[in-house]
Amino acid sequence: MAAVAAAVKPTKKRRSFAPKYPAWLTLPSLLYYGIFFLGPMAILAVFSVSLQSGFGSVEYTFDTGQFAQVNDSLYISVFERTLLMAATGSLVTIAVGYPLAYWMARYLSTYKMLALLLVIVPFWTSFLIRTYALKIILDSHGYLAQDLGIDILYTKYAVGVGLVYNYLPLFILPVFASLERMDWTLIEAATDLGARPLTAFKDITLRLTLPGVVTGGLLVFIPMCGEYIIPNILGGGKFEFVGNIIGDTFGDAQNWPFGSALSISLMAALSVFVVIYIMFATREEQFGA
Amino acid sequence: MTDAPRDHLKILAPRSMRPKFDYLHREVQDLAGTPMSRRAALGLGGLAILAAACGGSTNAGGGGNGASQPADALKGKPMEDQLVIYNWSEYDDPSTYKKFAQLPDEAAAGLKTHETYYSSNDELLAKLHAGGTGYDIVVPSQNAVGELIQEGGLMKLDFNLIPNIKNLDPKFRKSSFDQTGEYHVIKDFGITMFFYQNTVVKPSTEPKTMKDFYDLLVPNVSKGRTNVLDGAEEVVPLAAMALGYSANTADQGELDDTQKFLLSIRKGVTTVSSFGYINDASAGKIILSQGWNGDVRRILKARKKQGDITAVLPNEKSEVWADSWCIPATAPHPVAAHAWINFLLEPTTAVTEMNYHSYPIPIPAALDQMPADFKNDPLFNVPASYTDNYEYILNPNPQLVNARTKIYQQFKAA
Amino acid sequence: MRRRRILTAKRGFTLWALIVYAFLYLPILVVVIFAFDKPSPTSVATFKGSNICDIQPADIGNISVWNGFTSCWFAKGLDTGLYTSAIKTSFVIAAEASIIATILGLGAALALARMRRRWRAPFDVLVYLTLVVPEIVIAVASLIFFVQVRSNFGAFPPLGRSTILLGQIVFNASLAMLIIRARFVGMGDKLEEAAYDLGSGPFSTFRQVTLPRLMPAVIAAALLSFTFSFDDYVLPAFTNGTTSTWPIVLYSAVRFGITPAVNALATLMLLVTLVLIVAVALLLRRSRVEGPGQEEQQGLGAALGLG
Repeated sequence: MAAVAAAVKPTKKRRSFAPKYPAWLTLPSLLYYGIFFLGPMAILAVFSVSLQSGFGSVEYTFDTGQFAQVNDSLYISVFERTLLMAATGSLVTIAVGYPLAYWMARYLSTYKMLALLLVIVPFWTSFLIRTYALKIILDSHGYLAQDLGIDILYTKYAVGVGLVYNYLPLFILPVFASLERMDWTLIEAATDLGARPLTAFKDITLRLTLPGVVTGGLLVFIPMCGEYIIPNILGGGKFEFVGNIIGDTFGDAQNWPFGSALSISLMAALSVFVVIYIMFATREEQFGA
Repeated sequence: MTDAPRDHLKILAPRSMRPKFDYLHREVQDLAGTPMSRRAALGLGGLAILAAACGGSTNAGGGGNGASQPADALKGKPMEDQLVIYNWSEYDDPSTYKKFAQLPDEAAAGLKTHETYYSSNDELLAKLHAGGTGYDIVVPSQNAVGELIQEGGLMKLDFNLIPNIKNLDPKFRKSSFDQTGEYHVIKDFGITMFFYQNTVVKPSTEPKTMKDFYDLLVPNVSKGRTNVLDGAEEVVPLAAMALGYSANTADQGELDDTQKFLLSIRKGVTTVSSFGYINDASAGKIILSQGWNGDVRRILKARKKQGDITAVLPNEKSEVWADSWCIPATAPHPVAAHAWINFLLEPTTAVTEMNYHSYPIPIPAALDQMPADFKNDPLFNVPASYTDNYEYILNPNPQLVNARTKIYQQFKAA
Repeated sequence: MRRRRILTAKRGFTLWALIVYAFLYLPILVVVIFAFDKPSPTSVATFKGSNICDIQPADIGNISVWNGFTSCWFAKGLDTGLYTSAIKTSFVIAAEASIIATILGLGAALALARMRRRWRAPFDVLVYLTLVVPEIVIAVASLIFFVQVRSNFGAFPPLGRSTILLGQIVFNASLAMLIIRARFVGMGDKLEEAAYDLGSGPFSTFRQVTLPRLMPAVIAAALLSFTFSFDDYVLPAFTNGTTSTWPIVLYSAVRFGITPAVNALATLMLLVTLVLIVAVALLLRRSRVEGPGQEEQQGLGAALGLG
């Protein structure tokens, strides 16, 4: 096992030989984000400290009152629920998606890309039509409810099924991309040297693909936290996510300043996870190189 | 929030910056070509110039150009070759668009109609408030019309270009959301009622009012899906009216009562949705729900064979709503927009339209021509004895809308 | 003994894969079945025309149950110019967004993956922030931003296709960057090193060594971007101006009822995609089995991530 670990673990020295791609390659996207992401975000930031002066119009000032309003038991409890649902949803997505990505990468060769395409094809029929179909399947008059006793439409379980269904490709694709580069001979070598398959999987496959899994998991978790159409349709409009609260504040109330303050608070809270991840990811990267 | 001499900039920058800001203020004023307050010019900080140059406010759709424009500014102007309509999809008969383009003036101008769609009034409002939309015709609900007038987002209509306005029932020219009747022409109107599956929901006494509907929720929720229409501007005023208050009450005590009442019936509600409830109810999947009369009419038709739907036009208070044709203040093709409204007021057009969307258009000559199964159906031709008690739900001011939204959010998240 | 265990593992994974595919395709199957559904019997009975698919949405009755087989929705769907043009618009925007975002993401991923942490961290934060923002928020903010920029710089496009595209690329580029980097990081540089040692320049090393090895991630990123863009409702709903995308048409149609014509179009799209996929698969298989010049085939295979 030690031999394998050594093969997997790179030496510091090799990194220095790495061909470096020039830093200016980041410039186009940096410029793009600078204009088309930070621009709207700046407007959002300005709104969040402004006051609502009319419907959909604001008076520019510097007032942090909006943020004080965010600290409300209603919003806090919705936020906790959102986090819990998104976390559970991401874990289930990982549990469902990882074996599939593993299967594609390990056991398929000619049809690898075919299998990948087949994962994404269902998502080219519109979300709305798909969700309608999902509602027909989950319906309390349908086979699932009548014969199997799974009557979950308009509950958090239906929201969960909707989340997992819709975010599955967003997890499978990145993980496949990182599993696909696996050198499976390492596993063979390990098992030949007497490692049990599970140990080989844990020590080699999992370790090597962990950055992909974590990226994929975060890629799923973060947008799930901002989701609002899935909880609305499958939860029957009464299973609120933070996204719904923010949507109603921007929509029904047309209160842009408070909506902005709510979203900035959400972004700040989620950034905690991102920062933890970035610290973690930087450490993890060491052993792939 | 008064405009009193509170200097907001004090918070943003040290006093020594003041001369610089004054300079910037003058610059911005020159750029924009109009005098404006310091706050308007500088408030955005880094984005000051950006924002100030277009009025110091993001409310670009407003600006009051609609209100200040003389009523006959369009006199003698030629027909444009384009008309951009922002509408619900499937809300107008496809043949109406074809016939409009074939009218003599429109055909001569080579007019092309282009339509794009929204799925909630919120979208419409957000876009008109932000500006830059390029729409000639919009179809807001009554609360949105009132709000847009208030914000100066709508063009005053030139009724010289809409001679067919004479066809419209005069009672519908002015209304509580447009008191002068200068900004809207009603497209169609309807009411909010409720229905239940009589094979499942078996009330001891016949439900007659919206309050009766709410009272049926909790005892019946275990038998199947119950539903209330969604949106803060729907849920809260409807409940307030059920309690006997005005739909647009801003009284804190009454709002508190409404909130308490909503929370008390919350466990009787399976879904809060206006989204595709027609299909679900037609499939027999909803046992008790609110609905708009034209939709309930469709549901009744679809369940005719089973005959298991009882529809109730509420006594006492409920909502009457109206969707209207309006022209945004910034409309690039106003002449064509007026021509469109005029064409829709043609009785023959109105008949086609009503057959298509099954909501009444208040044009007496057209209503007379409707087939008997429409005319005699109280769900299409709602008797005035009901509607006289009904109220329009409006958005009188942002404070009330905020309060409603908070109650609505609490109701949903409970 | 060991062989058998591997076989069992393989069988277990295959079984799981089949279950997941079934989960993914079950709703799609329902969509396809209901593309062939007749309007309800009562509405057919009262309908005076000859083609039952001309029945208006308001009169169609209950179509969530099986009323009988008809194939007329396909003609009806293809005949509805509103639908077909919206699908075309969405397709073009999605393709453009996918290509541009993948290129932006690829560039950033290459440079960032081996950049010092100090420089990389701020960029990472920026990228993740684009994912953290709820879509409704970025939609409203982008709408206001685009309108403001347009009113100050005449050269900036008005609300429409270009603004939908500009808005969507933000999220897509982040997606592409993360996916490509997840593969690139730790892909190992032995081959690149070798290529350098053998005298290959940076560009040809990239083209001949790095890019082919990154291909699965590049393809995954492009596919996901395309899908996200094609299916996106919220952002286009605010930034579309007068452009109608497919989701915009669909969401608005819900208020007055969606007909099976929509299912029929979805089914057609699915069919076209599947036929294309099968054709490509057959082609690849043939070239692999029969084709001469083994080297070339491997190049092609590797480029598509089949290697």
